[in-house]
Amino acid sequence: MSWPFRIIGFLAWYAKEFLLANLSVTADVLRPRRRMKMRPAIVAVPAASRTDSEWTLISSLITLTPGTLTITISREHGILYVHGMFVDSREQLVAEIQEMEDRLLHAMRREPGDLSRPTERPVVRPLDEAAPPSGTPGASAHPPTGSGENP
Amino acid sequence: MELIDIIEALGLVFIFLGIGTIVVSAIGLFKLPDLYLRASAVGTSAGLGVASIVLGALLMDFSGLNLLKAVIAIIAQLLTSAVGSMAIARAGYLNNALPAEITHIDELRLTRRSPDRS
Repeated sequence: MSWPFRIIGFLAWYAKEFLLANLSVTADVLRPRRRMKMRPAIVAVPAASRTDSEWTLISSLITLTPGTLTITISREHGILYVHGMFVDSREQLVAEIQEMEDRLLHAMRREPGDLSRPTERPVVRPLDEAAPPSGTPGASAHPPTGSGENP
Repeated sequence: MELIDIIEALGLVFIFLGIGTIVVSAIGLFKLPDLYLRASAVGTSAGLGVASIVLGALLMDFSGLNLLKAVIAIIAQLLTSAVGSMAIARAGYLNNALPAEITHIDELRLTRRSPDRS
């Protein structure tokens, strides 16, 4: 498809997703507390965006969709930290966000170009612990569920 | 005359849909357990609620100038509410507003300076 049609196609697709997400969030709020299907999670999503405008647009569009919320991004590692409301597994949210990003980048760029994403999870540390103490060389990847552990 | 009546009724329907969305998200503000879920739920009123009220008002009083105003209002509202939600969520995380217990994955926590500080 040529470029202007890709933009229109993306807008139509996004409008559909936006309405569906609105419906599911509204339905879950109205459900009694015991039967809520909510499974929130904060997931690091590898992103293919490069320029400032791409980062701004993808994070705004994620936040605009009810149920997902960009908390922060890490440009140097190429990661979006996304809070999702209905997350069954890490992979499911990552696939949803990356599909939206693929479509957005196809609509924004005249030629899709480089859509590669970082595959290995980088070591992200607080600034003042940037130099890891010797003796933890094996900490090259995040544990998949880090919430319960305090490193 | 008939067509105008139908369009006006449609405008009323959109306005009441918007009011309903805003009421539901206000209920969500009370029911949901933490800052991030609440910010997500308020997104429904800030996006769909306000947009459909503006659309309803446009249908009830249609003119070319009003169409332009409505389009600008909807786009500006969507962009600013998204940026505002992100700013609130980020500020909350930096100020140690930890996600609720039911949050089953939290990969942002690995970047915190001392994870056990609450």
